[in-house]
Amino acid sequence: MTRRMLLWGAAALAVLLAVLLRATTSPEAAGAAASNGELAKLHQELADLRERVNTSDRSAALAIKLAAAAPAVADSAAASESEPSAAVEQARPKFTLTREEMRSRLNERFTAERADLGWSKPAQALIDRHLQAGLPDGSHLLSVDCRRTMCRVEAQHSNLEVYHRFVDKALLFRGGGWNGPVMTGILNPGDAQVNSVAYLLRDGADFASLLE
Amino acid sequence: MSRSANSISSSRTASNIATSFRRVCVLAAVALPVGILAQPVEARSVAAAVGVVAPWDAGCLSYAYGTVTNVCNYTISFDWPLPVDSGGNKRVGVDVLRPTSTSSIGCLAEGLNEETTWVWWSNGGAYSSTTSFGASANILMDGAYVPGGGQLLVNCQIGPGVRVQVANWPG
Repeated sequence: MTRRMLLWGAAALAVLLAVLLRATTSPEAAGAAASNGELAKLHQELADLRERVNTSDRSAALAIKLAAAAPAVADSAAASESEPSAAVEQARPKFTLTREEMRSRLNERFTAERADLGWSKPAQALIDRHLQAGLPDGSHLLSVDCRRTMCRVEAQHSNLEVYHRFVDKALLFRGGGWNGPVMTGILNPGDAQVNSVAYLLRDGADFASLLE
Repeated sequence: MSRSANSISSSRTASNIATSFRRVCVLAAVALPVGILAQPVEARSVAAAVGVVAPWDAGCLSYAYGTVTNVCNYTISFDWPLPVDSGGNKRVGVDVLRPTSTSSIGCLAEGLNEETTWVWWSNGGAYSSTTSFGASANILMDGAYVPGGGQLLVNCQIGPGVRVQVANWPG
């Protein structure tokens, strides 16, 4: 609401500025400035403006031709790729990462980090204890590793229900104990057996800086 | 002759002033909308009445002016979807009212990707609470990440008699 009011204010200001601009170039002011040399200069400016208008006309004609050709390109793209639809793609936010992109970006950041033993050793010990205490039957840890600002937990679960139990009882620190942000993701959605990856960040770190 | 020279000189001065004014106007016209667009994202808020509980706990909620109160004698789980305009870290505040010092309330913000297979939590997934009671208090949850196209949810574990009022977050 406030932004809309500000935009209306900006539009009103622009109109006011245009009126003021017009006032400064009124016929009286122009007449006072009309020496022979200045008249020649004005003629030159007029010629330049005419040339620019002609160029714009040519660009507009080109744009119209391109617009006419666009549906044909869109149709052929739609025919070659059934999903997702053009409308859905248009509505999709600009910076949406796919699951694979997020996975590889986090993996790159993690593998690029060197271990800070002062933090990573106690952090890994804490996570190990916490995971072992809550690990449900059917969940199997593949790796637990900490670096400088993040820890990674890779695991396998016999099914989705076991995975949810793993997240609730083993991964998350429901009663406190880990102050940084945590995430977990399913790497193979739709499969009966669930492969998961989780990242636990150091206090003060955030996922936005890793993913954007 | 001298009069003509003076006239040309004054008209040139007028022309220079007009040109300078025109430049200032153009700069202002460009800078103003840019300044408006560069403003920080405005906060959003929504009443607790849009949240949901499990169907078997539906009778536990009492509604008043968009707030909800747990009228059952046990804790209920309350899910509250918050619309987001763009991805990023979300700092969510929830206003609650604990009637007594023993009333329990804990809230958690969760970010999910579009297909709900990836989830992000703040504070290691711990529930945040408040020690205030007898008056409205704010529970702040910092750092739940929402990817572009994703969703933001708040889950509150509402104890008996506790009222949940409104959520605030950056769109």
